[in-house]
Amino acid sequence: MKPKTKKKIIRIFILYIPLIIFLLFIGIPLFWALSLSFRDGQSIISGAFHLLPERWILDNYQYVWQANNLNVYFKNSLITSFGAVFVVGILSLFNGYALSRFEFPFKRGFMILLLMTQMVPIIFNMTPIFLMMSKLKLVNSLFGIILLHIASGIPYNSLMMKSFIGSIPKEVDEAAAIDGCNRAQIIFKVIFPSVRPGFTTVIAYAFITCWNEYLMSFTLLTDAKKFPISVGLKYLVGEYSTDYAALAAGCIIALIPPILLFAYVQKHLVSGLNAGAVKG
Amino acid sequence: MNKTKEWYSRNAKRLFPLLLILPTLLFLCTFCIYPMIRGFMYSLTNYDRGNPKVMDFVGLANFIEIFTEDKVFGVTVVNSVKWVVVEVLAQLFFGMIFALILNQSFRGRGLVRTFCFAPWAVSGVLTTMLWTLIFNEHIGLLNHVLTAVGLGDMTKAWVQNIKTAFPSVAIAELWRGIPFFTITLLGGLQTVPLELYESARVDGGNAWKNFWWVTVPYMKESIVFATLMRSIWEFKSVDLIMTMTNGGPMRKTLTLPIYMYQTAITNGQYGYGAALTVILFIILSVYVVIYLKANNFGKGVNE
Amino acid sequence: MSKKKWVLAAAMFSALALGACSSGNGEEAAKTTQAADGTGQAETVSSETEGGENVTLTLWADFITPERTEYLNRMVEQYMAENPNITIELTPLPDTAADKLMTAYEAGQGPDIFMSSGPQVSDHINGEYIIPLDEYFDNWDKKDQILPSAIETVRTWDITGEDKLWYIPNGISWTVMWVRSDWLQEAGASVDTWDHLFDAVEKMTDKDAGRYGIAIRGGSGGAKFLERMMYSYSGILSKFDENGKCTINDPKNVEFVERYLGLYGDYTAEGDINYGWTELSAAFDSGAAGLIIHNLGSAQDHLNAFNGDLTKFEAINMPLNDQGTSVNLMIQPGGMTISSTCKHPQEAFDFIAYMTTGDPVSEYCQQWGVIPVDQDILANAEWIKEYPWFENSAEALLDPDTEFYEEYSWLPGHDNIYNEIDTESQYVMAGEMTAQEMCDNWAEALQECYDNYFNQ
Repeated sequence: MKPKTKKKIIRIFILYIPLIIFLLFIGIPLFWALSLSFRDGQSIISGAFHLLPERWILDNYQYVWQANNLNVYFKNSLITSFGAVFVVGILSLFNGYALSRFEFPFKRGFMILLLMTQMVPIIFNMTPIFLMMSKLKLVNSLFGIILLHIASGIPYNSLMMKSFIGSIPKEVDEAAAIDGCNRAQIIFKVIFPSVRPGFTTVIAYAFITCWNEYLMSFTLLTDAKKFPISVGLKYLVGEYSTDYAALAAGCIIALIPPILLFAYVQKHLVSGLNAGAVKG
Repeated sequence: MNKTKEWYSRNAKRLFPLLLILPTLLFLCTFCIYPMIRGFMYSLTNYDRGNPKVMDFVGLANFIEIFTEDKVFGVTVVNSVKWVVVEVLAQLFFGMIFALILNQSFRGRGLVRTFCFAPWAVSGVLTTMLWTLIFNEHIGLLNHVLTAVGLGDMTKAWVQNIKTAFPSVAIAELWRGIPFFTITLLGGLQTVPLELYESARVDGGNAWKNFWWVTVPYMKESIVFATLMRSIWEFKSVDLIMTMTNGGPMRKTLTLPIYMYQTAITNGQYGYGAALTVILFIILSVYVVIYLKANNFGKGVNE
Repeated sequence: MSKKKWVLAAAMFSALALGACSSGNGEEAAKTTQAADGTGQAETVSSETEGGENVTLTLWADFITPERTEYLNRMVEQYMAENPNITIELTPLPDTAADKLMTAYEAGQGPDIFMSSGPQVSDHINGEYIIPLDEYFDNWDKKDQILPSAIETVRTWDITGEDKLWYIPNGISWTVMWVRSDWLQEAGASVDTWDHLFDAVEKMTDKDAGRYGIAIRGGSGGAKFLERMMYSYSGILSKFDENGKCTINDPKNVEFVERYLGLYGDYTAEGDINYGWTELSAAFDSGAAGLIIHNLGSAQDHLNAFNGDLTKFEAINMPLNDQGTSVNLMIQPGGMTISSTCKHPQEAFDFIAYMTTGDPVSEYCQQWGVIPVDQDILANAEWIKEYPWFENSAEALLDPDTEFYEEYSWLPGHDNIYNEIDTESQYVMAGEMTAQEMCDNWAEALQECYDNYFNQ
């Protein structure tokens, strides 16, 4: 009985207390955003403090969705994000496979190149990017935005994929090769199924980056009907005042797709356990 | 015909990986590398967006000015280094703790995991709005709560106070940074084979030893990778500091990218801003090369 | 075998590439058909009304909110109904669009018309991105309706030195001080002169009750407003004297900086040292500060914050200085420019003319919180009479006794100095720099801009 109680107490101290602190740190701002989104916008700035809205209203949601056309921006974001993530996923799979299984010239150089693309704040490249996109006739095109999203999504996700594939034993490929699979078959029939949890994670990461991307879309799109949700939300930040309540509501709507996606992905974090276990 | 076939099979092993990375190279060269180099070219000019017709080639003049005359540059580098070190270490530390916690089994784990991940997916404009409102001197959540629990003396203008400005902004950034680390490390934890824990237990290792000798080595690649990416991203991050403090008060939060932004975008001195960008790029490249060498990253288990 | 591999791999890539392209192309194709439909309709309409050739104009506008989008859409539709051969493609842009616009201009792909509450015209003139509008303006039948002083101000922005008109103004963002009238009354103080104002700030302060007499904008945008107060206080009417010497470090200006920034800490909250506009407005609207300097654009927010109670707050023009004058800034008005890439400048100007007079501009000014430059509206619009601040400001604008100082904001490089001075003012507030040092640095930087411009 006694060791069991002791174990329970330890569990409370090393598991539940830190967990609760963490949840509070993460949760309070989120909870507050949720509370703001149901409040009457004016009550926020006038300083009266309420943790919960005095009167719960849905007006803010209705307002952002319709008056602010968030429905249009939402759809655009879905198009550009989904348009990009699968290409990012597959190219990352190729790169990850090449990096973890082969020796080739400039391998290290290639990895550093991937990292280098991450080193400059995008705003400093905006003018050259615009000039180039305009030469390619891709200004004001969602397809152009998709291409840019692909290019900016590849580096991080390829390196992530490299470590996922790295954790699959090489014997798996060799066995498949002996069975008569060619290299392409190995990638799609052997590597891909075993790295599936990693692949979903990559998709989720890429999706979120595309979903929240602001600057390239804002600069390159000239038709407001093509703007993504990140730009659409900015309309709520006015010249002199911010519609806090509506902005909170809009951001919560914008949070739904990534959250749904992650709810799905996090299950794979568990099945990833099995994939890793093969190795031992 | 036969000869080509022979040549192919001899070189296939070398060429196949190149073929795999070819589309990526095309994408990156077109959409990242080429614009980046063109952007860098401006650093050798005095290009001023407000006066574009008189752009001249000035050689290294911008760089010389940065290193000899610019008094702000040094401050911003120090702030940037401080920012990256604080952010990355704190995110790694807390991210690791929470990854270990979320790896335990308890009721509602899936829900908690999904929830914890939310700050990272939240749109940047909400993050800055929330933390600006939380830290506000007059209408902020934090001061209201402090007053409510009888700690009214502690209320502050958190983001404007010379002492608390940097930590406050850092906490706001941690809010969305820790979840990133937690999730990445949680992914890494899944690759640690359970049998290793079993054998360690047989050897009589305690929890700490388990962690240090079993978990950490196995997760090294995840840790190195997440830390590396995060350092790069934190070093060049702009949006949060920009909106919350704009580098103030008294340059306490003025990091190199904020300074670049103010110079090149706000003030339109693109040439000078590009020179600062090149310096930032060089600092990061040196850091990355050293970091990779030190950790032997890329020499995976299978090689 | 190995060849097969190659073929397979190649097929893989091409499939991939095709997949990527086809999805994009499909979408583009859909867009083109849509666009084609659109023009098809326009053609049938125009053939009925026998207007001129069909013209499409692109219009961008900055700092747009959902309400402003609604207004612009309505105006554009009205205009297109009256002019069936014209199609206006509106792109409302949130926030400052300065960077987006500049990038587009650099690539030669700017909009035909740009509508801004503060266009960076000198940059755009330098880049030859916009065209002068004199020729169109001179032939405009309603040109005399536009307030002459606004046109004059716009002409000073012509950095080519030819006094050309590069944009048509629509409204002026008038600088005022927002004051808590009820606090003033309680304290028995007034803010009619600068000395009284400093006195009132002290009297209104009640730190224990969390009430501060004033909120100072020490952060971004602070120096710009500080300067307006300095000149109002000193009564100097130009930033450069007749010898071309900068007046910003004139003893009177320095005295003001000392007195004003000296209020920090004693009569302000702690955070003022790095307040931007968001924090400044929060301090006033939440009832923590008794006085802030800003413009009429924020009127609606204060009105909302105080539940429409006009006894609680008011806007005052610049207080009287010791010479007994109220010196204000004739700030650069907002307005619309035409890009050099525009193929139909005459049509573009017609649209601008439509938007700059009558009901469209009246509603614009109400929505944006600016004083109309259409004199007819200025004198007769109902909404101006409805709120005292609009009425007062309109009066001050037309009053011959109101003096204006010359800001030289059009000087190339002039506005870039503010950022540095914002920071230096923080050092002054913290006591690590004197007001004199700050003003000297400021004067030196301004002088350099001035000399660069006039000695070239």
